[in-house]
Amino acid sequence: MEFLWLPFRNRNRALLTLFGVAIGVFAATMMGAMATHFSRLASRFEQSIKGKIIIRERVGFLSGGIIEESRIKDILGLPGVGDAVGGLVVRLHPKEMIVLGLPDLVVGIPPEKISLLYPHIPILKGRTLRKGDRFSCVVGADIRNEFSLPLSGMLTIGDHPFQVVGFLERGGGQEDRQVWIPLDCAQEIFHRDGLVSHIVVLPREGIDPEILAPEIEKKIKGLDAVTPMRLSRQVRQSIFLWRLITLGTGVLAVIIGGLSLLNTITFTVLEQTAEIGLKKALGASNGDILIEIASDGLVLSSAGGTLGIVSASVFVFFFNQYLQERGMSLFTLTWGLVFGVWILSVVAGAGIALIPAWRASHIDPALAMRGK
Amino acid sequence: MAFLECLHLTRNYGKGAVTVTAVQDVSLQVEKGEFLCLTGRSGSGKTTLLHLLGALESPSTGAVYLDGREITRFSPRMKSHLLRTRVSFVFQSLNLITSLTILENTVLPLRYSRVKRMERIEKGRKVLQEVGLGKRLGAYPSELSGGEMQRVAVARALAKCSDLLLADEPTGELDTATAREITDLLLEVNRVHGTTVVVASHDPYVVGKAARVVELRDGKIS
Repeated sequence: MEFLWLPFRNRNRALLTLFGVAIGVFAATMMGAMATHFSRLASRFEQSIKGKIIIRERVGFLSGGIIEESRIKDILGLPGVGDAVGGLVVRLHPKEMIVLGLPDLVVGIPPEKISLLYPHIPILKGRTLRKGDRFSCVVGADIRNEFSLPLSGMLTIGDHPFQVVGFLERGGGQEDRQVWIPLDCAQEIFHRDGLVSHIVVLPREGIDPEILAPEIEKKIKGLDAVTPMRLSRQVRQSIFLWRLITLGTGVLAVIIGGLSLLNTITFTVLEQTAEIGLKKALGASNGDILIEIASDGLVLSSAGGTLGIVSASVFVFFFNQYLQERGMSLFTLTWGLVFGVWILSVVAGAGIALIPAWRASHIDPALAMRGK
Repeated sequence: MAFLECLHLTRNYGKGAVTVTAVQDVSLQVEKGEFLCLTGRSGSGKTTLLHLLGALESPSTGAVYLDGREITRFSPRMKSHLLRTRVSFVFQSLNLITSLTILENTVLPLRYSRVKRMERIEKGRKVLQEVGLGKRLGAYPSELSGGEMQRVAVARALAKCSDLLLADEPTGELDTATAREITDLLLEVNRVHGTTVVVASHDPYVVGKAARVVELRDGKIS
């Protein structure tokens, strides 16, 4: 086990390197957690729109209540349409002008259609909305934390108190920031009687939504039929830049940590040139020296990587809690990410250490012992 | 053929006009179990000749034979094996790895030979006992005197049972009494274990004790 403490012969330098690697890995993990969060948001969104066509007024469905509910009947009469459900989406905090990330949303939805529209979102506690419910709501995980809501507690939406009847399980998607209420209540409190902000169309079995959507647009004038592929493309494009920035910063952090390691191993080799010469005079092969020096890098990168990942995990845990209490979420840490970053730090560390290790292994022992 | 033999050895350093010849056309035979002293002034080529005899560096021309095999033609891997098993060096200074205990230093060549740990420790204890350091196994080089460090280097040669010990000014940095102790230890190793010893030294005590003395002057045998 001697190889474990040998890199710490010069304790100060080893510790500085270890912290250098740890900071790099910490930053890489944080950036990775942020990129994972965005990816998961996109995936959840794609899952929620899979096989569905969103019909909206051309000005956008977040503006709310500008499609007449009666048009649902027209859509239902079209060939290939299985079902059509109207919904009313309004911001929970309409006075907030600037929102970082996704806004909190109130979703008015016919209770009997919930299982049809959101079969992938399980209820964590309580129950979902039922037909006949009035001023009841089901709350997403972030909203629950933001308002510290208990089951059967009250949430004020548009100056009206709603009783919480259930909580959605955290999924890492937009639903964490949603409050579901019965559509008729939403229309009533937001003064949108007979209006919806969008219509979700479910094609009949075997009907391709990408083919059905243009047909709907042709026959129902003034509406935009957005297909899952088009929505998915829009979402991917909007998060692409974010992912590029986070991943780029993560890679930069790993490179900086790696340079710190390279610096230390190079100095260690320079400092130990005579000792390396002596070892070769005692019969150490090039391979023995290569392994000894590279294992220094491996130990430092493994230890630094572990420290960086552990500190990033602790930070993410507490920071996520802090954010969730304020109704936000920013990081998603997965085992895959943790192991991926750790393996990357170890492999990169060993790879970087191989450069000075290779040079050390080819030192001429006679010259090295003469101090040349 | 002698146990150790070199023929027309020449070692040049540098290139072109700045070439320095450290050893020039040296031929030498050393019999098995002999105690030979290479003497000469500083810069006469003693250290370079020792390095060439022990395959630590390669000659510009000429050849070295050990037990009839031309070691100058050995691959780097074979040279490493030779240094691990048959040839030992004792240097004037910098004999030990500072981060290792004297026991670990003693058995380092055995570690490179993949000898099992317990076997290494047993062997190390025994030879350190033999050189009078049996009670200081866990000490680090910084805690040792110059004479004790040389003893560890000799113990290391004993640990791997090498049959050729090449000592480069082993008494160069020691006081007279300690220098004599180390010389006597080398003589004892030669007598008891039959190890062939070649010492490069200009210490009169070593020169006086050697069975044969070869003097080098400007890289040549005078």
